[in-house]
This record gives sequence, C-alpha cells and structure tokens, in this order.
Amino acid sequence: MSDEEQPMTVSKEMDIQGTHLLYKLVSDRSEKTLDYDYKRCVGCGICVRICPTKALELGPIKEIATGMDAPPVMMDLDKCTFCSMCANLCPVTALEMRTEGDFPEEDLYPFLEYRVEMNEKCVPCSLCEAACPEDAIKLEYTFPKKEEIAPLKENAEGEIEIDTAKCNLCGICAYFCDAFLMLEREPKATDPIPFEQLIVDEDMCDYCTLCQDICPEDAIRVKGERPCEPPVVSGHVTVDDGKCTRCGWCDAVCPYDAVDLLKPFEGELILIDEHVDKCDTQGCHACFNICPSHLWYVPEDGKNIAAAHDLCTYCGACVNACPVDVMKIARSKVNHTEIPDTPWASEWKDAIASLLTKERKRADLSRALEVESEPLKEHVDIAFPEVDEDMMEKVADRMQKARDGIADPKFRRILNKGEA
Amino acid sequence: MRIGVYICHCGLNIANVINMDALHRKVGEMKDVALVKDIQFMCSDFGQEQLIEDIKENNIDRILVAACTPKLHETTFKRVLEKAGINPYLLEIANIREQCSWVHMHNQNMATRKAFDLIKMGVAKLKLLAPLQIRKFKANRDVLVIGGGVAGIEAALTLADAGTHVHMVEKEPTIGGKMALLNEVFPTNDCSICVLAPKMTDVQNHPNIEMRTYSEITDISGSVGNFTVKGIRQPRYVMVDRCKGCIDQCSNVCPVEIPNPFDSGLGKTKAINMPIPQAVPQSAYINNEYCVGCGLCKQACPADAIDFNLKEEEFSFTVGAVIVATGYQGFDAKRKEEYGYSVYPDVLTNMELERLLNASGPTRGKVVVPSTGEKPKKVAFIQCVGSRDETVDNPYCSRVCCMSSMKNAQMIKERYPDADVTIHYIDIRAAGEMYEEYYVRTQLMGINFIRGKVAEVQLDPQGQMQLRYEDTLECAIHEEPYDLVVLATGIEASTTSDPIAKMLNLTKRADRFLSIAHPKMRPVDAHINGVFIAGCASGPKEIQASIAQGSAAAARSTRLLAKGELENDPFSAYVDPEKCIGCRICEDTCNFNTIKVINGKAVVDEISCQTCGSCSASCPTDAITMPHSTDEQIIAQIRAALEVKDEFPLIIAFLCSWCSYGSADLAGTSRIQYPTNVRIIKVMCAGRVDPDFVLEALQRGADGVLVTGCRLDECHYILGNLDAKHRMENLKEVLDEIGLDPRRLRLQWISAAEGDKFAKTIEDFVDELTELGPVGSELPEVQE
Repeated sequence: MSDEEQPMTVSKEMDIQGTHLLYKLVSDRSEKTLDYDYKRCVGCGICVRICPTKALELGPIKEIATGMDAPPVMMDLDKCTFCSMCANLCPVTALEMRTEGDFPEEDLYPFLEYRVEMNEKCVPCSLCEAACPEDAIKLEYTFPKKEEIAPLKENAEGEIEIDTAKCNLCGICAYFCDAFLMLEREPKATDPIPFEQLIVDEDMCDYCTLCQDICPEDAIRVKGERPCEPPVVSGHVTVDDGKCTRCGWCDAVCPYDAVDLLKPFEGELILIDEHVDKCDTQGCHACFNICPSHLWYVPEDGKNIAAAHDLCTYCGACVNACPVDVMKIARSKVNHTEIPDTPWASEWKDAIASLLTKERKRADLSRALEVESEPLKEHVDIAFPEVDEDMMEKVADRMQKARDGIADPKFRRILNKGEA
Repeated sequence: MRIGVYICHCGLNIANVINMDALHRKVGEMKDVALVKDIQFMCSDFGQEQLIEDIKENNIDRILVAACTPKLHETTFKRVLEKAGINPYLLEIANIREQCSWVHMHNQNMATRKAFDLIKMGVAKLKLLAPLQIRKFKANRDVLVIGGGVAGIEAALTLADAGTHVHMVEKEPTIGGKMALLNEVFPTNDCSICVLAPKMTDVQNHPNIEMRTYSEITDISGSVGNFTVKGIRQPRYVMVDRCKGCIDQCSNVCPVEIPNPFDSGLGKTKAINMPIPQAVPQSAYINNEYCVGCGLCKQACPADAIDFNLKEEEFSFTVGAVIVATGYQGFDAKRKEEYGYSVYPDVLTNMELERLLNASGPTRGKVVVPSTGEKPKKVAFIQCVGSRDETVDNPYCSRVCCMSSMKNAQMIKERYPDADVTIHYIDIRAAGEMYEEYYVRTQLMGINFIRGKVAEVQLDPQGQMQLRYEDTLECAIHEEPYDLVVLATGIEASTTSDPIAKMLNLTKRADRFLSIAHPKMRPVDAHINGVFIAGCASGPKEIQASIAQGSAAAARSTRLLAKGELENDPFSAYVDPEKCIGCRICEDTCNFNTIKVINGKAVVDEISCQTCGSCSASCPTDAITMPHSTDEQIIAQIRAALEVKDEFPLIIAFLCSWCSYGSADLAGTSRIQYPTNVRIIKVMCAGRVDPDFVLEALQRGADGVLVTGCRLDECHYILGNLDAKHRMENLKEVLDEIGLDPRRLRLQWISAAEGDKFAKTIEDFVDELTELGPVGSELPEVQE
C-alpha cells in the first residue's frame, strides 16, 4: 500500500508568536495555518457572523475597547473547518490563511474587495501621509531639494509672500526648501487637514523663486533672482495594506481627487437618538478607541457624540463595543470578487449575504441523536469436551467393517431395496 | 345511405331507466335508418358478431351505437366495422349511459326523450361523416422512467429485460426511493434493503438501462411515440467511475457535519457522504448546500475521484413513452399541532422510527427516546396522522400506515420485550394477502390496540408526556403517559412531481395525486397517450402494489411501442384554398406553430397538427375544416338537438374530449344525478367551439350554451382553453350588445376528476336559465 492509500490523518494545534495566534491543521500530506494577529483585529465580528461552524466567538469587546489586552475573537479549534472564510472576508487582514499541499486554487474562493490607490492625478504632496491615522502611507519625493541645486546665497535680497487663500498646505515647498515650515496639528475627524499653517523663515530664504515655480497652487510670490531651472515635482506614495483600514482620511484631505478608494462595504452608520442621550464620553471612550476610522467626536452642538459618517467602513466594531447601543450599522453591499461555481459556492454566498441580512444558515443538528457504540462483547474461550482416543479407535474399526460391507454389491442391493 | 342503429341495454344499466321499446320505435321512424336493434350487451362477442352479420346482410353503410361512453368502446366498434368491411370512421356513438341512464335515474320519461335526442344528434353527425384513412407513423421504442424508487426500478428492469432501452432519471444521488430507507417490510418482515439492493444493482449494471441520478427533467415535449426529454444532472463533484465507495476516507476528514436528510435529521453525516451504505451508484457526493471548501477530501481520496470543477450538465434524448414513478412525500406532522411534533422531542414519525430501527440508521438500529437516550418503556402509535382527515384536506386513507405501525410495533416488542406498546387507531385496515393474519399475530404478541382518535399529546404537571384520548369501545376519556410517541404520518402527493405533471399535461385528482385514465379499468395509464403512472404517484399504495404497477406500466408501454409504429387518427386541420383569404388569424392562433401562410394561403403541417381545432374556430371565412369534427357536422348536431325543444330550459353543451367529457363520464360512473336539460356535443378542445356554433344554438331555441374545457393551466393543447376563454368572453359582449342576456353563454373549467363539479355546473346553469326565461324573453320588443 502506497502512502496515498493510507487513510489520511488530520490533527489540529495552536501556537502563539507575539501578537499572532497560529491555528494549524496538519495532515500527513498538507498543512494549513490560520494566522490571527489580534492586535490588528478591530473586533468587528464579521468573522464570527460568517463562520459556518460557529468556531469563532467574540471576546469581551467592551473591555478590550476600554483598555483590556485580549484577543477580540476567540477560537474553538475543534469546530474550525479551516475553510478560510474568516481570512478572505476580514476587512483589515487580521486573519490570514497559509497553505501547503494540494488545496484548491485561491481564485476558486471569493475575497473581500477593497482598495486605496493613488491615481495619476497625484502630484504627489504630503497631505495624505501626514493625515493617515494608521501610518499606512509612505511618501517618497524623487526630485532634488533646493540645497542640492541652488545652495543658499548669503545676503540675497528680495521679497516672498504666501497667498493663504490659495495655499492648500500640501507641504511640497517645505520638503523642497528649509525656509518653509509646516506647522503641524492633530487632525480631527471633522477637519482632517494635518497642518495648521505654512510659515516662511526669511533668514533661510535667498529669494531664488524656485518655490514659486514648483508650488502647484501658485500660492507663493517671490521677487528675486532665479539661479537655475526649477525641478519638476515627482515622487511616489505607497499604501501598506497591512496597516490601512480603508477609512478614507487620505481621500478626505487630498486636494487633487487622487485617491481611488473602494471600501469593503457600503451602507449606513445610524445613530439612535434616544441612546445618544445615554452616551457618556467622559467615562467611556470605547467607540473612539475601537473605531479603525477614528470617526467619533464630541460635537459642539451639545449632543453627547457624533460621527464623521463619510469615514465609516461599516465594519460594526463600534456596535460591538458600545455599552449603550448608541449606533447601528446597516450594510447595503459587500464588495467582493466573483464567487466561482464550486461545491462551496452556496456556503460562501450565504456567508456574504449574512453580512447584509444578519441571518446565517447553519446546519441544524439539534435533532441528531448520539448513541454510544456498543462495546465489543468479551470473547470467552470455550472448553472442549474430552475425547477418549481408545474409544474412537474402536469406533473406527467398526466403521471399516461397515464400509467393507456396503462395498459388496449383493449387500448393497439389499440395502437399497430389500430387507436386511 | 343505410344507417344501422344499435341500442345497447348494458344489462340493466341502460334498460332499467330508459324505455327501450319506445326508443326503438322512435328511432325506427327516422329517415335513412335502415335498421334498429337493441341488444343486451353491444360489447359482447354476440353483439359484435350481430353487427357484422347485419352490415353484410342489409348493406348497412354506417353505424350508430347508443351505449356507454366512446372512451370505453369506440375502438372496439371501429375494429368491428373494419372487420365488416366498412370504413371505421363511419361510426358514431351516442353516450346514453354516462350522459343519460346513470345520471337521470329518477326521471325515466325525460331520460328516454333525451336518449332519443342523443341518438338523433348522433345520426345527424353520422350522415355527414366521411371515410378517412388511419395515419401510421414511426415510434421511438425507448422508454423514460422518471423516479428510481421501487416502482420505477421494477418498470425499468421489466422493460430492459424485454429488450427495451430505458432511460431512468432520479433526482436523489441514489436510486432506491423510500423503500431503501425502510427497515423491515410487512407482511413478511423481510429486511427491506436486502430485497431491494439486488434490484438497485441490476438497474446500474443492466446494459439496456441508462441511469441518471442526482438529475432532474426540465422539459418534455412532443407526444406519444416521440417525446423529447431534456434535463440537468447536478454535479456530485465526485467522479462516479473512479469513486470506490470507500466513503470513510473522504468523509472522515470532512470537517462539516450536517443533518442527514435521509434520516430526517436524526443522524449526522458529512458534507461529503453517501446517502445510504447500499447507494447505487456506489459513489460519494458533495452536498453543495453545506460544503465550505476546505479541500481535505480531495487530498484524502485514494482514487483521485474528487473534482471540484465539475459543473451542472445538460442532457437530452428521445423516447416513445414515459413512465412517471415519482413517488410520494410524507405528511408534514407539524401541521397536526395537537400532536406536538417538533415541540416535544419524543414525538417521532413512523418513518423516523423506521430509521432508528434500521441498522444503518442514525442509532445503528437502537430505538431510543430522543430526550433521554434511553430505550423506550412505553410507546404509543397514533394512526391516521394526516390521513382520513378533512382538517388537513386529506380525506383519503394512506393504506400502508396500519400495517407499518403494526410492523414497527412488532419490531420494538421483539427487541425490547418489556416495552409496553399501544396502537391508537380509528379502524385497522389490514386488507391484503396475509395482512389480517399479521394483525392477529401483532395482537398475540401483546401489543395493545385502543380504538379512538387521540385528541392531543400534552405534558402532565410533572412534565411527563401524555396522550389524551377517547377509548370509543369503552366510551371513556383517558390520559395516559408515554415516553415515546410515534405518529403514523400519511402519504401525500409529492410536490416534486408538479413540474413533470405540467410538462406532460397530466391532471390531478382532488387528493392531488396524478389521475389515471380510468379509476378502475386503466390503473396505470395516464390521460395522455404514451404516459403511464406507477407507484405512489397516483395514490398511496404498499410496495407489492407499486411493484405490480411498475410491471404493469412496463407491459403497457411495451404493448404500445412493440411494433415501432403507431396509428393516429387522420384529424389534422385542412385549409380550403378557395375560401382562404390569407388573413393570418389562424397562423397567430395555432399554439403549435403548425400553420404558415405561404403565398397568401394558409397551409397546415399535417404531421405536427395536434387537431385541437382552435384555428378552425378562429377562421372568419370557415376555410379550415377539421375532419371528423366539421362545422357542418357540429351544426347538424345542434339542429338535431333542437329540432323539437322538448324541455325548458334546454342547454347545448360543448365538452372538450379530454377533461370535461371525462368529468361528465365520471359524474355518470359515480351516479351523480343532475337535471336532464343538457345535450352534450363532444369537441377536441374548448378552443374548437366556433362562435357560430353558439349563435346557431341560440337561434334554434337553446336557452343556454355551455362551453367547458380543462382547468386553465391544464389544457392538453397548451392554451386552447384560453383561446376559448377569449373568444367566448368577447362573444358574451356581442350577445349583450344585441340585447340577449350574456349569462346564456357560460364557461366552465373542469378536470376529468371533477364529476361532481360537472353535475353542479349543470344544476346551477339550469337554475339560472329558469330564472332568465326562454331565449329571447329578455328582448325589449318581446317584453313590451
């Protein structure tokens, strides 16, 4: 019997590496690892809702949102099927499935579809990088700084003026020349621009006019002498998908409509007025802490709490965390890749649909009866009767006699028909 | 023209009501009638020989037989005519039994008068009949068997052994049907699967059977001899030819537990499973309702049989006949709320108990009380749950429940001799070979029988389940605790057969089972030629009867197709190019796309014409003739019926030959009495009724005209009855316009199973017309 013909054995194990909980399914011919980074997890509970076997359970989210260090989602490894629905549909890639062995191709399963990408309208400038609450955006300018092409001329004379009506605080000038300083500030959900003001230090300025040329908004006026041709603004912006939560702050601050943003879900964040009254933003900051979009704020109109709705990703973490049910989420669409025609299509369809309907169809085993297997009956050796060998020899003698008799045709005739 | 009229006594069936002497005398006075005879039994050999003799001796050239419905003996007499050397189409039958003597038993004088009218109408048509030639066509000899239960299996094997190529289509992933799930079967207490499994394997291995499981039929078109069948096969995601049936290897690694649909959820199985150990084909399948896609089964399969890329497959083939063996569905016990099924876990159905008793069932043959897991101490069976029960619209007896409860009671008693077992019954029905003896044996085993319907399953104050019932033999009400209650749930018509019935135009009885061509004489023939019904699709029956019907259906289809050639009445529409004005109305009317206007004249494709006659009724210039049902023939019948207006009100009724005529026959055979005031004219389809016929009838003195057809979505010509509906409803407007009361024209849709509805229709119409007064009495100038 070759290896392939041996019945396959499957076992499960668990391991912890830092903030990662590793759940493993190991067989003699393959391995699957479900890698759960609990620090990345926002506690939205989407995986809990879709899990086909209820292997996942939401942890103490309210406590976690208010400071407790624990995984927001707990796993009953016995129940897990390693189907990877949780991984494929996690909006923040807190779960990841790694496989080794002959498993169906990845493209036979749907994935949640989302995207933050900078398009050709990107200048680039410094706003999104500075505004990103997750530190997920890296900006790299690729044009030379002023120092490199026109070193500071001492005692130069001229004038410089910033038109604050035109300046959008994009920060390109500040990267280019040390004479500019962006005065930073804490971005707010209601006003996400990360800079307060652009300041010019005229001590550092030699009125070279190059800043006037590179400013995309034509907001700088300089009287002076141009030492050389101005550089063309260039660079690239990269988004780290592992950090990005698709909250859309970058989109909110971008003056150039350069962010292609596709959120994983569409829908509505609804604040329930009568519960808003019960909200205590002094004592509780659960939603503030848990929201991956950082969209909650205390408004000035006297209400206890308000949200910058445009930033919502409709993940529902706040709903799980709020002790007084201030908000609810009504998802209207799940963006996902196509569901291929496979034996598991119907289950995946249902999982995705349950994110809209909140009803997940699961196998109903409530009537199933459990009956213990009958134990094998104990085998008791049977005692044989004693056999008298001498006696049996005598029996054999007699039989031989009879056998001789029936071989005689005359006797046989009598045996068949006549009288003995 | 020399017409011979034969009046049949049908023993006393006709002669007891109708005055044969008077009728004989009157008919004898009719013009062109050369010979009148009344005969004890026309259908007897004597009657038939008499006919042949008379034809030869008296130069008779056409024959009218006044007897029973033409559905019974028209072909018999056609054959006789052929023997006697005259064209078989020169025959007319006056139905004086179903339409007269059996339905007017208490009005003998009028019945005699009506019988004379019916004969007059027949003679009028007979005079105009033309000799026709029978059409022969090639028939496909293959047979489709729908359903792989015991009836379908028997039909398929019988046919295949006789050399017929059979297509079997089964919707479940295995054949075997309900019988494959049973534990033991009465009255022998044989192991059900042990006797069935060899037959299941035979089906798979038979070179003449093409078996398709996990498949459904999506379309059947065509007609007898040439049905085209289309369907789809669901993907199993397991290659049947590779799977070795070693099911443990894949299902052990499958992480998805599901309720086993074959155990009604009492047991668990995996998303990849085999329905039953003896499944045919012996192949696993992935239940795509539950699979999550973990991919482990594919790795575990030693035969590399799993293919996640399999897709739904379409198939198509042609056959000459179809055997419908779609089985039944169990009554949903939840509907009888008083018995607490699905509320109390210890209330089971008989089928569920069957699974518990079964060694390959969820408990491996142990009967346990679900809530405790213990063996039962006190078991009650409640009979007639969902049978003989008007409150759930199932007035019929399900025939098998008494026996199966007794059998299961025996099984429990055998395995747990200390258990106290009681059967609560209304009547024990043990009619069958060795059944009564079985009943006695059950009683002798110490099983209790209590007569009386159980009122309720309830909990006593201690939470113990108890039955509240009346013992009608003791005339006392009792409350008795039980730890296991088994509901003998009845047999219901399977809803999965609905689409099949629709595709084949089959009709259903009031009990929702498929109706058969004659409730006594043609137990496996459907109303549709070339379609046969076997097993529980046509009503509850035990395994023996289903097997017998499977064989019978096989024999009937062999009889039909054995020659590979079928005969067809030459009734296709014919267009007179002289009269045709090329208006294209008929082209638009034909529901079968059989008429095309070519070079300004309508042309009929004779082979595909279904002969409904709707085109003829639509033609403004009467250019389309239906042979054997010409306008002239029908008008002559109308005139003959109204030549003497012998009663008021008088109704001319047009009945379609499929359902409505059948309903009138059924009223007759069921002896449902209704007023004599109706004269029936048979047409192929309600769509054949030309507005002109209605006008002619009213003009000649009919007080009302009735047009009946099949129920609206059950027309045998797809939409012929709808054509009639449009035509007649518009004609009503016309009547209203010209001052006649439109209520004089009535439309009714009646299935062949609704004899009572037909009688009621006549009764109501007579009442209405009596109130309206004679035709014309409503005209303003008359009223002045």
